[in-house]
This record gives sequence, C-alpha cells and structure tokens, in this order.
Amino acid sequence: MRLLTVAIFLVILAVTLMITWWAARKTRTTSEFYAAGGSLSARANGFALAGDWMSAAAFLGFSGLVALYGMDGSLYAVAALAAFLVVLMLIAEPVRNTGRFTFGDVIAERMKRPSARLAATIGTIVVNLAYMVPQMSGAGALIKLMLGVPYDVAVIMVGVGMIVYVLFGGMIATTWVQIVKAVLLLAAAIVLVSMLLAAVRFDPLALFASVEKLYGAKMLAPGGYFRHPLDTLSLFVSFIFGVAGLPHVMTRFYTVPDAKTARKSVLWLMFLAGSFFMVTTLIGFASATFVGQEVIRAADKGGNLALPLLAQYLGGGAGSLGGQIFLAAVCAIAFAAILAVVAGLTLASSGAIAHDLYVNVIHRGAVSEAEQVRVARIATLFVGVAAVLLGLLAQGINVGVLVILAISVAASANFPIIVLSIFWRRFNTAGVVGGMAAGLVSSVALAFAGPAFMHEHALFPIVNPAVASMPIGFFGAWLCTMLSRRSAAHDDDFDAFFVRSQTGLSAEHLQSPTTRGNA
Amino acid sequence: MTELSGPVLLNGTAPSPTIDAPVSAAPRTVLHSHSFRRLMSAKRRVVVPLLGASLAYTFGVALLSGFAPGLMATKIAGSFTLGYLLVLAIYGACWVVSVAYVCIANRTFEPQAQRVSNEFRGDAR
Repeated sequence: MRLLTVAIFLVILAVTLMITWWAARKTRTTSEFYAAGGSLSARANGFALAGDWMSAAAFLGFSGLVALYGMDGSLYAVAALAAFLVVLMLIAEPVRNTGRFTFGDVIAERMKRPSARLAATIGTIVVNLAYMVPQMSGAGALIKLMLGVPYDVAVIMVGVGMIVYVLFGGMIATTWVQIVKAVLLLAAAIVLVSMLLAAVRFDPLALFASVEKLYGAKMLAPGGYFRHPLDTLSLFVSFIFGVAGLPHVMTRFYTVPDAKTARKSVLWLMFLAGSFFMVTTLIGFASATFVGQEVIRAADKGGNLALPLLAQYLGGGAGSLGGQIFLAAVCAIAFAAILAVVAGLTLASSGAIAHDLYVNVIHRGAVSEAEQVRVARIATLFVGVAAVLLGLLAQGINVGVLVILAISVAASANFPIIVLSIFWRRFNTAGVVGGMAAGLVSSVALAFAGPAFMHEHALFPIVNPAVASMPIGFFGAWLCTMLSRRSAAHDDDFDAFFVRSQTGLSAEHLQSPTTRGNA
Repeated sequence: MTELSGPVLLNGTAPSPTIDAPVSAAPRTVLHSHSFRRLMSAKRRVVVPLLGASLAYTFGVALLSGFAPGLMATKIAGSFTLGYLLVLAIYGACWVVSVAYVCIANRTFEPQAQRVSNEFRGDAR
C-alpha cells in the first residue's frame, strides 16, 4: 500500500519537475517570471485559474463539510463560485489593463504614490501568508497520513517543491503545474461521480433520501454547521468580495495578452470549477451514505478525509487492491493540489516583496531588468522559507482561523481599495492607507474574537467577520479620503487611469506625435 | 505620464470647463468623448442589472438560510428540499450570467473600446 502511494507521489513530482525544467529555459525576463510573458491562451489560463481555486481545501474540505453537516457545506461551495461574477464583471479587465505583475501595480498606477503601493503590498503579504499556512499544515497532515513520514519532514517536502517550481520556472511552471493538477482533479471527480452514481443506479435523489434516512432531515436544510443566523450571509460576503481581493487571483490576469482573453478565462473557470463544486455535494452525501459519518469523523474530526475514504470504498473497500489504488491516487492528487496552490501564492508574494517593495517602493523603479529577476528569485526563497517555518510552528494548532482571516482581509481591505481605485474619482492615497488599515485591523480583531478562535467564549458571534469588517474597511477608505484635500492633478490621474482601465489605452498611447514633440 | 502636453482637441469635443491643468487634457478629452461615453453607458446597462440581480439573488438565499431554515427545509420532490433547489439555481445563475456577460462584452464592448482606441491613439501604429 505505502509503496504504491509513494510511487504515485513520485510520478506526480517527476511530472511537475519536468515541467519546471522546461519552463526554466523560457523564464529569463521579469515579465516571463511573474506573468508567463502575458502570452497564455484563455483556455490555459482558465484551467490554471480553476486549478488555483480547486484547492485541497475545496477538494477535501467542501465534500467533508457536506458529509458531516449537509447543506451548509453545499452553501460554502456555491459561494466560492458566485465570487467569480464580481471578478469577471468588475475586476478582471481593469486589473489586466492597468497592472503588470501585482495588485500593488494597479493601486500605484492610480495613485502614483509609493505609500499607496506599500499599503497594497501589506495587504498582499498578509492575505497570502494567512492563506499559505493552513495549506502547509494540511499538506503536512495529509502526507504524514499517507506516507507515514513525520509532519516536519512533510512540510519541508512541500516547501522544497514549491520553492523549486517558482524559483526556476516562475509563472510558466506555476501555471502548468496548476493545469496538470486541475486536469487530474477533474478526472478524479469524473471517475468518482460516475462510480457513485452507478452505485445508486444513476438516481442522485436516492442519495438525498438515504442521507435523510440515516442522519435526519436536518442534513438537507441549512443550520448544520453555522450557529448564528448571519453566518451564511457573512460567509457569502467574505467569499464573493474576498475573491476579488485575492492578489494571487489578480496575478492570473496578467498572464493573458488582453482583456478579452481575461474574460474568456473566467468563463472556463466558471464551468470547470463550477461543475466540480456542484458535485462535491454528491461526493459528500455518498461518503456519508457508504462510508458513514462515524468513520469519517474517526479518521479526521473536520471531515477532510471523507473524499479519500469514499474513493477507497468505491475502489473495492479497505484492504482490496482497487481500494488501495483509489485511495493512493486521490491522496496524491490532493498533494499535487496543495503544491500547485502554494506555488501560486509563493509567486504572488515574491512579486509583492521584490517588484512592489524592493524595486518600486525602496528603489523607485531604478533597478535593472537582470537585477529585478535576481531579486524576485531571492524573494521567492525568502517567502518559501518563511512559509515552511510558519507551517512547522502551526503543527497541532487549529489553523482554521487563518483561512477565515485570509479571505476576510481580502474582502475588507484589498477589495475596498481596488474597487474604489477603479471607480471612485475622489479616492486618494490617504483613502488607500485608511481603507487598508481599517479593513486589516477590524478583520484580525474580529476573526480572533470570533468562534473560530475563541470557540464558545467568543466575543464576536459570527465566524466570518466580513459582514462587519468590510463596511469598516469601506468606511475607513471613505473617511480618510474626505479628510484629505482634493487636488486637480489627482483627478487628472483618475481620468487617465479610468480610460486605461476601461479601454486598455494608456496615457503614452494618447500622446500624438505632434504634441509629444513640444513636451 | 505627466509629461502629456497641449490639449488634444479631437472630434470637436471641448475639454471639461473644470480643467485647469493642460498636461492631462488628453485623458479627459477621451473621457468626455462621445465614443467613450457610449462604451461606458453600454457597460453600465449590462453590468448593473446582471451583477445586481445575480448578487441580490445569491445574498437572498444566504439570508433565507440564516433566518428561514424551516422554509429551506420544505420538501419539494422526495427528500429534495427547496434549499437545494435554490442552491442549484445559484449555479445556474452563475453560468447563465457569465456566458451572457462574456458574449455581450465580446460582441459590443470590444468593438466599442476598439473604436475609442482608434479615435484617440496618437501614435498610429
């Protein structure tokens, strides 16, 4: 069994390393390192975007939540998809048109101030680290379970993997690792769903009936997981606006040549990730039916092993060869999913540190191209090591609060400043700093005061604080904007930015040859 | 970007009266041009209803889940509940709305943005 699992792990590692080796030869410039040269097709970027979004947290987490708590798990999954409507219609095209590599680029293009870029950089790093640590600790727990290696070794393995991908292959390797993982994940989902449907004679409603019979009608109604009536709304607010503020999602739009391709890639995501999220409900119900909640809980309190256990059952059950192959394959795919997602996060974070902080805030852009690539690689190493150390520290600690924190900061700090930068003429640098500070502080305070961290002694009753912290973020942005003076030059910057964000026409393009002559 | 010079008066459009810094006349001219305003009003007409309706529906389902779990538990076919029907409809809405947006954007925004671009791109390439 273990030998088989190790073999599948090694095959996946070998494939991703070959991709990295191939990508490394095409990664010379900063544009290639951060944005794959902006040359991806809509389909490639769409698969990579879907791969980013079908993380192990979605793959294992959503189906586990459905298996143990019923409909609240299904609500989680659908919120994660609906989020992309905001990305598609408000964020993707302006980001593609105004930035080059990072979230900070968009804010800096609008505000022309290093302090505005710095605020966006802080938002990027906080969100990415809060996102990465649970992934690292999840990977550690999963690999420990599958290969029997200690947690520490497992976390270091993941860290080395992601550092190698990003360091040598940059965005090109990260993208293709993401695509391979998305294809594997979808293939696994197709196999599992066909088999579980065959087991109920292709009548999905039979699964609903069996779940009701076994665990009661509460599985088919909301309220199994959430306690407070505002919890579902707050979950939806944090996902729907938070995804639009996730820096590693924005970075994906720099890898395509134009706004039209950016749009089409979101459409790919909608159908790929959407179908996947939809079937997590069937997978969850099937594992509750065939494996049983008792067994799922015994394997992992949070239900994260519901899907692997179902795969084992469908393959022929524990101890059978088919069961072993299925279990090993599914776990190896989950491992690949984690590796790909942390690689994307590492890349976006190194962009924030090297491109935003070092090149543009500290050196005001006066850094040669070769030096920029070198600094990007050093930053990758730095981010990777930091993520490994934090992952090691996280052992045995409930890191669930960090997941909430990541999406909440994205919704409460990053989202207000990007959406106001794109659409509000009066918005200024003071507003960016104020919005970032208000959103960040309120998210952190409310997430740690909430049930995810303080359990029954929670000072704040709602799990996802975004329903309160996002309005606070917007208010901070508005207040600091209004307290500072309006300037005509700043309004002009908005005009140039707005035209560019909506049409792709930059100020340089607008200069006619004659006017440029007498500048 | 700030070294833009001299108001570029194209298409007979005068720069807005509030303008005092001639350096940025060009972006503002585009902003007030007929073609750009047509692009923006087309976008508004599509994005506001599509995004507004789909988000209102999605948040409505979230509110019902929180405040009317009993209603959501209503059986409609065997064990299948109203709640699950509403959740399935969110998937449907996401797909219909995103396809509609991408089709409209490719068919109308794209050529309109191109027109703005052709009209104002100074360095004819």
